[in-house]
Amino acid sequence: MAIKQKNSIFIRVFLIFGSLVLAITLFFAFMVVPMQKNAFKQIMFTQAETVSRSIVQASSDAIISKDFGFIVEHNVEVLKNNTSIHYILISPKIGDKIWINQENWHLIENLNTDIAQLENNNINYKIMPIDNYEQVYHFVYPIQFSGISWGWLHIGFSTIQYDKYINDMYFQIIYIIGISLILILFVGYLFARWISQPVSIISHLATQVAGGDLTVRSTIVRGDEIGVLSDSFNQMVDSLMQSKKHLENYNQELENKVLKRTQELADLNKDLDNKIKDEVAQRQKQEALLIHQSRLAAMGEMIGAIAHQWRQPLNALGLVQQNLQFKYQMDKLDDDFMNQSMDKSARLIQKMSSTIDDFRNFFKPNKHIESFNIHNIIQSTADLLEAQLKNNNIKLQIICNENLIIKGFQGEFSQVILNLLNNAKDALIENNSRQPTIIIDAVKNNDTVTITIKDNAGGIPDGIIDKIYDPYFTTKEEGKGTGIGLYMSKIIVENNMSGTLRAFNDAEGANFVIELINNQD
Amino acid sequence: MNTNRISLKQIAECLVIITCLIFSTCAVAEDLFHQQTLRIGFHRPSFHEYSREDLVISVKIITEEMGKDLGIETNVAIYEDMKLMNADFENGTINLIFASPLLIANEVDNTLLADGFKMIPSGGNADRLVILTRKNEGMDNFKSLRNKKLGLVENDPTSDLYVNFLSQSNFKKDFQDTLKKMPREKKSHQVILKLFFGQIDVTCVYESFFQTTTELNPQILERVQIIEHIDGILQSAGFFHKNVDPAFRESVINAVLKLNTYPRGQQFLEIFKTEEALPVSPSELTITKKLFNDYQHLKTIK
Repeated sequence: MAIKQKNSIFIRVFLIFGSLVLAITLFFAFMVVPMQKNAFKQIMFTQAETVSRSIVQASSDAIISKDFGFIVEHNVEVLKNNTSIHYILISPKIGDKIWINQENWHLIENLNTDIAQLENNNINYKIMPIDNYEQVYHFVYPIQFSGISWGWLHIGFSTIQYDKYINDMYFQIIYIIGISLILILFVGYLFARWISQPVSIISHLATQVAGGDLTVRSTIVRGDEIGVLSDSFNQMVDSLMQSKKHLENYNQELENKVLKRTQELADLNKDLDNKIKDEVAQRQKQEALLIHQSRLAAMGEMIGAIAHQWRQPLNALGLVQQNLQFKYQMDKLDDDFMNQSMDKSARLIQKMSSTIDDFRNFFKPNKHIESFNIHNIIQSTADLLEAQLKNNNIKLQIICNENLIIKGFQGEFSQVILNLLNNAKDALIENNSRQPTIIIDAVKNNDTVTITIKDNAGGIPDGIIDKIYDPYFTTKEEGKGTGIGLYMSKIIVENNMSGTLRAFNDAEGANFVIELINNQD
Repeated sequence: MNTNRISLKQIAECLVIITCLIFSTCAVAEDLFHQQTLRIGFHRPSFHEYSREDLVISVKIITEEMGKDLGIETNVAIYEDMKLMNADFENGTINLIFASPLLIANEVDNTLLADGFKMIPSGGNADRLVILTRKNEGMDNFKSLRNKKLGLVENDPTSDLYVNFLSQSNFKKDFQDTLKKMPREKKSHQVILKLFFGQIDVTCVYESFFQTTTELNPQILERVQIIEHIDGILQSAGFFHKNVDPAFRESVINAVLKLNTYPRGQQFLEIFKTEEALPVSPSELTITKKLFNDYQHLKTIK
């Protein structure tokens, strides 16, 4: 993956350095402004004081002798030689004031309030607009002789020079800042480059290394941390190169090993495949055998059941024959009796025949999925055992909606019901239960149909409840059980009908629960 | 005693030498007048309104510059003594004389004078002398000025002459005997200011100076009035020696009259606080001479 080269260190260093220097420059520049302003004001004050003292000293005799002509002439001359002075005002305590400016002079009686307020024992000044002058540095100098106040000398200085100083100062500051900016840009660029360039170079080299190029080396030679970093970088790349070589060798070795192992695994897989095929074939064979055994067992049980079923009609048929024989011997065999006997015999034979049909239907191979009525299947399967259940006084209760339909293998489902009923019957007989009862409860839920075969034979012993589905596991006496009924029932329910078969004990006995998917809706 | 006696031969020899000397001096003077150089003589006391520095430095420099423009050599000499200046004027050391018209009229041989030029100060009549007093103090004519404090300008004999003339006319005495003479001032506006501020009661100045002073403060006009005046009295003028080549004189006068047309020339005029120069002839000294004669006459008839 390509790594984008960045210049953020250069920019940061440049910005920090530039900002710092600029901030310091601005700080000092703007710190100087008020100081310079004060300095300029102090200079103006000193200049004004000097001029005032000079005027007063030069005019002292004239002042004392009230030679106002001299005062006027002298100050006109002063103004002529000092263009920075707008006007001079001689303000004696008593009498007219003399106002002299660059163009003329005149006497005034009263001063305006702003100027008059400045007349006290101290030297005062104020920058303000006076007459036509927008801004004047109005300086007031008290005239005193031997501690006696005579009046005041007012001088209006032009602020042009002051403003020029200030403007010059601002221009100088701007100039300095401008120069600083250029220096900042130049020196900052060099400084930032000096700091960031080696880092950038090493970063670029690192990017190349990250991209897989281990041939690059830093050529930076410096006596500082950057130099150390450069050396370390080169050492690191050397180490990486060695590691890469080791890794390549190791990889090659690993690849060889993997190839070898892969070959071995391929061979093993081939064997395993054959073994699995063999196992599957063997298992299929075994299952077929089991199914065959199961069928044989079922057939055996069915034969027993047929025997039970046939016992009663055979007895009845025997009695019909005996009655016929007896009537015949008694010469009382008439047509009616004969017809009745024949009808009865026919009915009995028919019943026996239908019994055989039932069994034949039960064992008829039916290996296609079809919809069937659960109630009917349970009932017909129960009918097969009816005689045996009656002989053992076992009560069978079927609780099932007569319209409950599901899809599946009907014959196999019948076989499962028969197995579970047989087991319940055998358990009830074996345990000699009181009021032996089998309840078959079929309930339709939202997505499932649950069929529970419950007995009151005391339940499955805890020690064997985990083994009851194992093939050839049986608790019945030898010759009575094959141990494949529950195994086959579980196989049929879970493999062929995608359902579950589970068992649990309650207070009365065992409960076998078949849960099938309700696929009819 | 033959040794102590001066022989006639020796006397004759001396006379020959003296005659030769006189003729040789005249020949030298004649040579000077024929030199086409401008040699100006300034009588500094006559220019009391202007600083000596201006006269000595500025006038010399600017005159030399103007001379270069005209292609003539110039030389400026400043004199404190009128007699010395007059002597140099007569012998040709200087060929242009600048001094108070009264001094020129009285102390210079007027027959040696030729045309020249005068500087005209701005404002008022340049050739009018005025007597100033304060208003509303009962000093409305010269007769009312007896014992009043008189302030005059230093080195202005014309003003002195005019005040004396008026004093003679009104009191038949010179002003020293009729007015209180106060210390003289160097410049006209100084005496005007003293008058304005009440330090003196009367003064005599050229009207142009009075005008200039009132321009600086019009309030002066509210307090000060003119009670007497005389026209035609030149303030200052420069006259060429009559022996100077008329063409040369003409060219110099023309150059001076054009001073106000270029900056350096205006700077020269500024030294004399004038705006322009005008031609002047010796005849314009007549009124000054007349004033002097009238004064002398009044003095003699008492």
